[in-house]
Amino acid sequence: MPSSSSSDEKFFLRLGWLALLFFSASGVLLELFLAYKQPFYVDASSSTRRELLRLAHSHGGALALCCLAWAFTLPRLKATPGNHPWTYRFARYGLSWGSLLIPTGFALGAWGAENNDPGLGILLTPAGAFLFLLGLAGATTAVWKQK
Amino acid sequence: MHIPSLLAGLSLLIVAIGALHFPAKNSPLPGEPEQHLNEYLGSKGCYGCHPSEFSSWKSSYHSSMTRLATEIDWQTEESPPLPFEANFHDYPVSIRLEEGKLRYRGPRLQTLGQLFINHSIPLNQHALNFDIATVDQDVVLITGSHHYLAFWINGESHEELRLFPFVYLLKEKIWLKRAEAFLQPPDALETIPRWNANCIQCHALAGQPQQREGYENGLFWESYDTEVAEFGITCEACHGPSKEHASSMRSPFQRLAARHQEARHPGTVNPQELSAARSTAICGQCHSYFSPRSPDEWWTSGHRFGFEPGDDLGATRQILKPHETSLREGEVQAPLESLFWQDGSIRVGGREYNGIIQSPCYSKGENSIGCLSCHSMHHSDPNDQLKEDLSEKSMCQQCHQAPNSVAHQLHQQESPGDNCLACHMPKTTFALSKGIRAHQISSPVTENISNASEPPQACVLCHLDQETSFFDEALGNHNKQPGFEESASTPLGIYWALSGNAAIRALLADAMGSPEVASINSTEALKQTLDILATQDEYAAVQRIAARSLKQLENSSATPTNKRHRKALSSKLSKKRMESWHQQRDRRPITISE
Repeated sequence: MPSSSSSDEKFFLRLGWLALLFFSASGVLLELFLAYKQPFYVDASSSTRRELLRLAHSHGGALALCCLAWAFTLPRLKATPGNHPWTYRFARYGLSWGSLLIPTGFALGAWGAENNDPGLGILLTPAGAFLFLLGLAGATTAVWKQK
Repeated sequence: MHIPSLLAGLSLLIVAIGALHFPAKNSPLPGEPEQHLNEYLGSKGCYGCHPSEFSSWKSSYHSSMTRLATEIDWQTEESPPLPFEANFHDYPVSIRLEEGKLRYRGPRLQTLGQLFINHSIPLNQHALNFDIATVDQDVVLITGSHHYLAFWINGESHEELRLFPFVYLLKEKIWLKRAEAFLQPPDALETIPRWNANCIQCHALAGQPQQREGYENGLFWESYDTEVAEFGITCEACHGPSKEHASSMRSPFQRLAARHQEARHPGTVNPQELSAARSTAICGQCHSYFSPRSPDEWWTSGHRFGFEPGDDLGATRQILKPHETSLREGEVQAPLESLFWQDGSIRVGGREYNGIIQSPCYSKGENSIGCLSCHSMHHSDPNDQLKEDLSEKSMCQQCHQAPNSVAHQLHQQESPGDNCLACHMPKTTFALSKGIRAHQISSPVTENISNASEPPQACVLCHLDQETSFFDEALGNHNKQPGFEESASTPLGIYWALSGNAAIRALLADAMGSPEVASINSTEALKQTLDILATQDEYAAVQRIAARSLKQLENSSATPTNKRHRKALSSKLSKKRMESWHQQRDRRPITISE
């Protein structure tokens, strides 16, 4: 088990709970937009924006749970000779950046949405998805190599 | 890795993307009327609280009656074949697609329009021999979406739009000279209409022509700073300006409270909660023939400040009547005798308000009917927008008991005549190259039918090849009045289709193409009639309608009428006799355009 494991655990616990708080709160905000019929959220021309904001909220919440899952997994992993540090590195950077870039991309895409197309910020989402998949691959390998 | 550094990195990314983001804004085309919502909310704003009403409106033709040309995909199957090239009074004109944009090339339309006015050029004059500059311009607006498309191009003066002289018929999939799409004598004067002065009053929300005119150095000038709230017939055309309503109803608490209030929609109008007269007036804003009470106000702010849904229509509009004497010259484009039948009913289709307000069913006080008795804007098929739970047969039964005997309806059950509308709302108004049901609900003439050609009687519109005696017998009319000279042995419908005025000829030619009509008439007689109209009539619209009906008859599988009747008929209908009827036709000019 790498020496940085405890700091990673702390990092992912903080990141997970913080992201869960933020994206759950964003859900409340979206509810308020709906309740108060805010034109930028409910108008016919806002359907793409509305969908992207909902995607940001739901992905952010779900990915925060993934970060917490990794944080709870870390103490259960033991250092073994076959367990290379790259797996942890992939998991650390991939899961953290992926969890943030995916919802941020959706939210930024909503910001510049026009004519049923998202704004430029949506480019962060596929980049985040790629990083997140790498992170998942690292985490899966780390778990797989356990004896 | 620490959370702050992670968030700092993310913030940097957001800033970088924000800096790169330049929203693309479509700049307006030259001549495009400005859109200012002011106290209107705009249809997109209604969606948030009324998504299903928005969707039903969006799927109606009202929503797309005026569109920016740039908002339309011109490469779908329904789109007109492009490029379109033709000659207009010997000037080459064309519409083509260039980098996704529709472009016009041809003579400057404003100059051409002015020339038509100055020199009184008739439709049938070909070469004009005037030098007019050729221009290459964007098509700005499209009006129509149901039957035909009309194309509007920037004129010379600011925000003025002139009409391309050809229209595209969506059903027939053909381009047609605009003048031929309407009923006009061949020597009627040519015009190039302006959107700002005509169509704006119905094809946009809160249209304001904002015309300015004057003289400078002895020369007349005019310009337009036209404004609209929205293009098309949008939510607030019927519900009134609703920005204030939307603002007050954004609060969920306000909406909850409104559920228990009598006025559930404060700040806006629900036509269904109005009296029949007032809700009908909303439709009458456009579906009427009128002249503005204050022309000066109309040329500046339109009806923007004079009428809101729920108001009395008569305050801003003088609804035309057949013998209106107070009209000033030029206030109505067509002569009144073109617009009304001899009995005073409206002849122009799409102007149902003029008809319904003359109907006994409308003027019966509290129990009166209105447009919403049979039509629904949100629960109906986009064609005709009849209430989805009503059939043509059951409409009248909302108030009247179903006749339980053949004695009233004179037709067998389940026959085409077993329908109140067939007799009480016959297709005697003309628009869009076809007969449209009259909305002046009436009973057919039962006596002296051979003298009642204006409007064509319901019985004759179907039983085209029958003589006076047939109608007298069917109607139980034994006190026959003398008719026209040839009536005793003449099939009335065919006689009028050839000898009547242009409106009668057009309506009867249209009726002859109907499968129901073909099934009860001699198709040979109908074909002979249509052949004469299609080849010899001087009205292009009559020719076209007759040719269309002829084609429909040829494709029809209608069962021929009984042999004896056909034989008797053929002995009476020689080509020479029929042509002589057409030679003697009523030649008084009839104009039924927009």
